Amino acid sequence: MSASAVVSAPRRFQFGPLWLVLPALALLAVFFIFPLGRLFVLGVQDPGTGALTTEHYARLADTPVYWRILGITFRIAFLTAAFCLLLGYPLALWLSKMDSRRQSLMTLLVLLPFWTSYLVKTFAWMILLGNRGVLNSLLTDTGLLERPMRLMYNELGVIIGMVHAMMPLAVLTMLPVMNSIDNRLSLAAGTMGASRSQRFWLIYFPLSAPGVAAAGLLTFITSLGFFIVPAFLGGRGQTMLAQTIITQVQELVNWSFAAVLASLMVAATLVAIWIYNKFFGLSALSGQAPKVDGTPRGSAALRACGQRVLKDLAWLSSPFDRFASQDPSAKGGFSIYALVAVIFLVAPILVVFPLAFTSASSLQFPPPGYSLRWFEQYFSSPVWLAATLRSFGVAFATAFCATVLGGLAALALARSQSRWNGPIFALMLAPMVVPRIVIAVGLFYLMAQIGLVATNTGLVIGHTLLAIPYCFITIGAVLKSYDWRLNQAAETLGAGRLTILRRITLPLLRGGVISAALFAFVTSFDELTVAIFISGGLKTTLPKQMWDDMFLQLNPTLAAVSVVVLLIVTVILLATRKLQK
Amino acid sequence: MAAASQQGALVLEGLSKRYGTFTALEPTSLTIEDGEFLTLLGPSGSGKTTLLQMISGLTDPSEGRLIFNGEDWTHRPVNARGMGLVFQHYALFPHMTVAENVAFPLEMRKLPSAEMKTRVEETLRKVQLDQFAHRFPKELSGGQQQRVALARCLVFRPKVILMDEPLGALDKALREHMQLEIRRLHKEYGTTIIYVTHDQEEALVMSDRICVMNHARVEQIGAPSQIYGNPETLFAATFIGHSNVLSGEKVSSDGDVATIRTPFGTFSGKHTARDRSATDVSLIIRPEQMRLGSAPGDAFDGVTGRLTDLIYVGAETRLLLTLGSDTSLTLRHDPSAGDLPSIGDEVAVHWPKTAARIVT
Amino acid sequence: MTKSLLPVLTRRTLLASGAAALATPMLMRRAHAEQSLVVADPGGPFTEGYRKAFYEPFTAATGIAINSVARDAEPTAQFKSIVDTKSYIWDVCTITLSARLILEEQGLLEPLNLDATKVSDVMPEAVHPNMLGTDVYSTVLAYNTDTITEAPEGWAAFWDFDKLPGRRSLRKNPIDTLEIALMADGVAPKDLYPLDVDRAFRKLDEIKDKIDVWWTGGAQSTQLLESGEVDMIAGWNARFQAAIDGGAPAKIVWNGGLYSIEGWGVPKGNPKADLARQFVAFCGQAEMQAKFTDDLAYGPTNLRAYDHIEADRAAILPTSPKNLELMSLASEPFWKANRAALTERFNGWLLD
Repeated sequence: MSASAVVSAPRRFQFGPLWLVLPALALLAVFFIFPLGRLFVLGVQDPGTGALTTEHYARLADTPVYWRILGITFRIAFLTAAFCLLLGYPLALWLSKMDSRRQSLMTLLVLLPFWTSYLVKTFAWMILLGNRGVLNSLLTDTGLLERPMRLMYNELGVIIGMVHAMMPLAVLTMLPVMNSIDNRLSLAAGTMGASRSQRFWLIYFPLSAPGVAAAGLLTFITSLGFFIVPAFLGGRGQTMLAQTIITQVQELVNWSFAAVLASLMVAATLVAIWIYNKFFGLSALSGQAPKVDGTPRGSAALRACGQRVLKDLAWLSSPFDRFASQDPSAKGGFSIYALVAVIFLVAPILVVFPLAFTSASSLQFPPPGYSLRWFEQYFSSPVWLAATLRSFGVAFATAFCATVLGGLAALALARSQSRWNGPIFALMLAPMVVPRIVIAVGLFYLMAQIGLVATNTGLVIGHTLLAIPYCFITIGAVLKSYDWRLNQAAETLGAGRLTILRRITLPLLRGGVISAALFAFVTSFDELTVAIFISGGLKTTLPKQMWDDMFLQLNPTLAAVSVVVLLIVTVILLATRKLQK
Repeated sequence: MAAASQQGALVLEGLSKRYGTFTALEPTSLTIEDGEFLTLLGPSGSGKTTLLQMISGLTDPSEGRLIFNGEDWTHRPVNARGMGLVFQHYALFPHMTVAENVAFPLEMRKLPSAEMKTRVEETLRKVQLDQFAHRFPKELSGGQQQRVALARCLVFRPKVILMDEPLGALDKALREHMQLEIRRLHKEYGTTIIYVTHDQEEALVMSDRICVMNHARVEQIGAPSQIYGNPETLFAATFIGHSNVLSGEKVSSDGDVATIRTPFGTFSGKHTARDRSATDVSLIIRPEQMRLGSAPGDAFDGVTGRLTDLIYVGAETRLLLTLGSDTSLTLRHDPSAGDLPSIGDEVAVHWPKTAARIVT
Repeated sequence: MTKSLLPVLTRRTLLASGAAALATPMLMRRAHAEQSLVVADPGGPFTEGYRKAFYEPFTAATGIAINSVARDAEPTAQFKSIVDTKSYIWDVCTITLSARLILEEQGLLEPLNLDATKVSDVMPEAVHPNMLGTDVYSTVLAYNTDTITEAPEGWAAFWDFDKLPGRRSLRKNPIDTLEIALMADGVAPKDLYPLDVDRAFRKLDEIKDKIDVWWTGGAQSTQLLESGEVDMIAGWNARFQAAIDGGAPAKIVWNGGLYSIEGWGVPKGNPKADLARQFVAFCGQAEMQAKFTDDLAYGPTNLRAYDHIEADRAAILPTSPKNLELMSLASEPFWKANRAALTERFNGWLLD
């Protein structure tokens, strides 16, 4: 037969896998990229005429106070990240040495404060750290201190509160990387004559470094946008950029300048990410160790410098080798530290329990007596109940939307080899790294114009935006280990695309999908920043209601609500663990 | 063209696959008859899995057509082809029990549940897994998993079964057992089987025909005995069975016989080369055709080399000879046939001219 | 979660209850679509006090249902969004005098067309074309009677660490704080405006490092006094009264207090503006205003309300004649003109 006779029949029409990312992209384009772009434009526009102007930036340049606030914001974020790594690394190391059953149980303990509302955490620290707070009373009563220490309303208070809030994130980011390190490598180094400290600094630590860097970046960036902790635990010197942005929008109604400050914050974030990407690559952010076989990032000189430092560290710590026991997963001091760290993470939250059951109307600790009056108050208050119900509804809708959109996007990227994968991946993660306050302000500006402020739709959109990166990463991670030949197998056995999704893919991704939905649910259930701007009126969410109450009437109702929220989150976490099995 | 082939035949017309500038399979034409057991044999990267995937529909061909039973199936959806595919690592659904896995294709065909049940039971009995119906795949051994994969394929009685190195993950004994098992099932069901492997022994044991593939193209198609006895290319000769190769230049050819000049002498043999005009050719002699001693007459050719090694493998002893600097020969020596020379000795060997083949 | 609960909480029921939760508020609103108002108050104890004083009596008198919601701490941005998008998530909202100025300038307030005869008893400072003040709050000094035995006479005492040692707290905001500093420096309340800002900051410099807490939220000021975290604090009288009512050993000093007014405003273009006006006018009545003083330690703007208030309670209210004469009205026009610049300067000063 001649070659010309060989003609292909027309191809059957096929959806490229990248199409699946479209819904998520559309959402991000309309409610993330557009509002952010609008915000940047606001910063260079005359509010009256709309003409281009540099006056707002000129004002920024002329006003040293904002530069100082930026400096303070950086300093606090940096200190928070540094302490999170310093204190979180040993804890993550301790967790990674456990067998997986104990590890998942202990991780739950670390997760609990992570999923506890920032408001509850801050509230707890206010009770603990006050001049007449629990800690000072304890220390003075036992005679350890003569006079109370200044533990809050200063930088110390802010750092304590923020490290407590961010450390779980750091641990959870480092843990997967540590889990993936082959333990035999250290043993192998041992057989080649490496001492304990050399094994750690020259083998283990460099391998865990991507996790450390990712944790550092995430805690730093998230800390940049904080406003709750500095507002309640800080002193006169601890004003952060996010607080200033809120003041500009809510009190002074100066959008242009708020936009300038928000742009400043995004620029700071981008610089941090740029530095990070230069050395580690963004893919490490998703909790995956970057490919070792790839070309090492950073210049050779830098690498050499880093190795020099590690060698010195190994040399410096070698005198301590003989104090350590032979067993690398040493008990003793290491475990005690880890236990203290876990107590640091969990205990503050438990303080709200006795307060919720107090018989007094003040936040006196320990309570003079116990009663259920504050729970009665909560359960008989239509305002609180409506807010709780609304938060549930919004969180369910968010969990559904974010899981579907994020999951489809993850599916698309897992199946596609397009050159667009890189940019899409970065965009999907963007809502996680752009400070929430900036997203919230941008959303508010947009939604105020299209009437979505104080609507459930607006809230669900805002929360879905924030939750998508988590869902995308979580489902993406399970997809990495998914065996695509199962789909081919099902196809050859006669199953269509939908049947395959329903019968094969979804059941096998169940664990990841449930985690993703849970992440999204709790993200929304606990979300305050967007809620401050987007909720309100009849559509107040629970965290917003708590936030209002922290300004309006600090009384034990807040503790009772905190306990209820905590129980709900715990039940959801436990239920999810069950469902995932 | 399609009419030329018999009922149920699978016809490939210039099927090829390219990824950008990389060619996974050169245009390939071949016909697979109904009920035939065809093995695609070749090293990894030779294009055999690509060919299998295009037949199954999991990969779209870049060019060419696929015709089944006279119909153009080139772009027919995978799930509408009704071909069974047994994967290399079985691809059993880990969240379904053995019975559920096997029932899956029947469910897709919306069989009544009673019939489904009997079909599943029957098929599981056939592969001796009826005891394991309610286990999950991960609770089974490799061989058992393999049989589940087979059962899942047989249960819906596909006209064509494609197997992609289905025994690759099993140990030798189990593999040999399963080879016979698959052969038995093939005979029993009379299904067309297209079987991919890189194991030449497996190919010889199981196939009606072998399609030897290399560098994204078909080297030779034929019955196992034909490929072993009359290889057309050096690759086919060396990939299937052991071969002694003497390379050289063709000096003459006359009908089925050609003469080749090598550094070790000029020899003649049956001219089986696919490309009759090629002058760079090789002389192939199977080890079992070589004997110790000088050529006893005109019907034989022979060379002399130095014995470098003796390998005792039970039923026989293998002798390794070196000719010149880079050519070596292997021959089999029956221990009962006489004394062995010692290592280092100069040894003469000979073979019948009719046993030698000249290939490209 | 126990296993037995799982079958009950299936995915479908969870989804259904989620949807129900989302739908509920909408149903609530629809039920009240006829003859109802959504009123935004500051929430917390305000809701309770206003319910008794205004919402319930108004519904009883007119049949118009009132739905109360909590407004934002600073509702100006919300006003703008509501008017711009015509999505009237509430019909009436409490605003301060300073918010009124901003909203008026941006044209976001509906005129109230108040009948002058009906509000003749209301303090003149509380009556505006587009706002009716209903309660007076005051920035005052409060102290812990356990640790400070000698009552401070005025703001000068706040600066006097020799005579009155103890922990101090000020609001992290220039509003009122600058006035306090000037009064402590000897400026008479009537001479305060325009503020001598440099002088105020000089005075604040004296105690800057001795201030233990710069509070940000009203509830925080209550808690600071209540828990004994600080011994002397400047803040809103009702916040301190809440601590005192809760049993805290504390007293309020009215001398040198700065009062201001909060009241109702209606967003421009509201389709229910007529109902809203009716409600606002209703809130001007003395009898009604007297009722919120049970729950809220704010002063009624209708001074005839004191006819209905017991003397004990009147003593702790800013507009009772004895207290009112010790205080002065904070100047909103001054702050409107200078707030942004002074906030910036104040924040910078704090960080120095």
